[in-house]
Formats: sequence, structure tokens, C-alpha cells
Amino acid sequence: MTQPISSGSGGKALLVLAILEACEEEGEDLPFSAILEGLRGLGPFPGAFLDELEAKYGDMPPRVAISMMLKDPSWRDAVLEASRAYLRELLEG
Amino acid sequence: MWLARETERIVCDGDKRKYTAFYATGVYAGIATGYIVGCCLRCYYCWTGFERDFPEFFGHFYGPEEAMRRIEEAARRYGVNKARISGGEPTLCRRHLLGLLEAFQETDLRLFILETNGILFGADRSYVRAIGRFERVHVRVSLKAGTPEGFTARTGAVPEAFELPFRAIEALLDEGVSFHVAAMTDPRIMPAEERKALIERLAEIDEAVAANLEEETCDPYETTLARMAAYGVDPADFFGLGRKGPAGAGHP
Repeated sequence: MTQPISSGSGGKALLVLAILEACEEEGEDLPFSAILEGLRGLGPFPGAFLDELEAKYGDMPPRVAISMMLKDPSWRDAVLEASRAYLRELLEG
Repeated sequence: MWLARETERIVCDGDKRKYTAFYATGVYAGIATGYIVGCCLRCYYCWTGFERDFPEFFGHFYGPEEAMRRIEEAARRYGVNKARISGGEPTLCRRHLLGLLEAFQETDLRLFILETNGILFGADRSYVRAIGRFERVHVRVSLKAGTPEGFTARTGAVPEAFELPFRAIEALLDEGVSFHVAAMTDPRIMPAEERKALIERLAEIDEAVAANLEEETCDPYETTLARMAAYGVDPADFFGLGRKGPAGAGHP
């Protein structure tokens, strides 16, 4: 897993990158909350971030949730940064 | 566009559209579904019923309010809070779809997922703008190919139509509509180089849209098997069950 990504936003971009990677594995038939639950305890992801995402988007399909995060001012920059890193994985990996 | 208009002649009547059923299913962790008739592509791996190929023979006409009432009933019966229409191309019968989304606004359902191939949205930006005024509607654009040749081989549509779903994506971005993109990138259908070209094309439009790509795989539904056989692909070979060994990549 390549992670040339900053932790400047308090690790939000790292969390979004992990979400993108998990979505690739899990597909759309699980709610976003299941993706988030799977990430708890797996990495340096602050519980407060996971709690916030679960409260806002937990019952959404994962790709829908990520689209909504892109319109959420508190997550937009993290999604953009993680997207650049994930694309590198996708195209070079 | 010819097939879209011909199909609309059969499955649309004013603001009414043909449906065959209303139910809920486990996809998207549970979603109420109106099963519609009619599509403007002919993908050889398609899973939908034979309503797609013979729309004259199937379904009954429902107005938008009645269709949404039945979708809402299905949602309540199965305890789900999302809705969609599936089994065909939802953007056919424009008056019906806009009426259906209007009726959806009156429900307490959380989300309507509009699954489209993007052809009609790409051909008419005003249609995308009309969708953008609705709350709680999320569009899922399903791409079929990364090249015009692949698009024509898989869908039966003219190669010029390949550009339309990409134009739809640009319009959805410009109009601020909530959406994501899916693509049938199953390596048995789409060669690796074509998948890469598709992702790069999406990244040129928007990196976040490309990174959030939902990659689809092909499953052996009965209708899929029949369509593959008619197309000249041996389904047993394709799904790795034939005597000739495992499935190869790059079927058209």
C-alpha cells in the first residue's frame, strides 16, 4: 500500500484513502457504517472522525457516502488528497 | 438515439411508463425498487429480464405518483429507506422520471439512486439540470467501455455514442449533482489496457470521480448466459466452467 499522503489534516486524508481501498474490496451492498466499523482499530484513525462519518453517512452506500463527503467542507480537502494518492495506486499498482 | 426513441414509443405513454413489479432487494444494503421496462443499449452481459429485448410483451403503465406510491409501500413493507427504478434505463420517458422524482420529494425516504447509462444525460444538458433541482437524489452513471470500439462491441450502439456518458459526467459536475461512476471493468470483458484508459479519461475530467469509481463484475444470471450465447461467447468458457480451461481476458 503506497501512502505518499500528508497527515496535516489530522489524518483525515489517510482515513479516506483507507476507505477507498476498503470500498474496492467490499462493494456497494454493505452500508458505509460497515466499512467504517471494519477500519476501527486497524489504523491510526481517530475515533472522532469515524464517529462523525458514521453519524452523517453511515446508512448510505459507500460510494454515495464518498460523493457526499466531497461536498462536505470539513472532508472535501481530505477526499481530494486521498483521491490523488489512490489513483496512483490504481494506475501504477 | 434511434433505439432510445423507438423504445420510448413502446414503454412511455404521456407521463406513464411500463413497470413489471415493485419490490425491495438487498443491494445497497436494502432498496425499494420499481422494475421498469426498456433500455437504449444492448449489452451482451446484461442481467435484466427479457423485457429489455421484447418490451412490447411485458409490463403495465403506471403514472409517476402511482409508481412512487408502490415503491414507497415496498420500502415500508421491507423496512428500507432508499429507492430506485431498475431493470431498464430510467432516463427514457423523461416526463415520467421527472414526475417520479417530484413525487419522491413528498416521501420521507432518505435517498433515490438514479442508475443510468448516461446516454440521454450526455445528449441533453437540460435534462441533467432538471435532475439537479431535486433533493436526496444521487445519480450512478454506469460506463460500458474505455474505447469507442469496445463500446460498440459490447452495447451494439454506434461508436459516436461512446462520448455521451462522459459528457453526462461533465454535466453532472457542472450542475453540482451528487453522483458517482461505475464501470463494467471485469477483466473477462474489458482488457487491462482499456480499463487503464477509462480510469485515465475519468481522471482528466475529475480525480475524485475517478478514485471513487465502482468497478462491476459480471455474474452468471440466466439472461446473461442466454445473451452471451446469442452474441457468440460461450458462457461456460467465460465463467471458467468449460472444458477448455479458465476464462480468457478481452472478450469483446
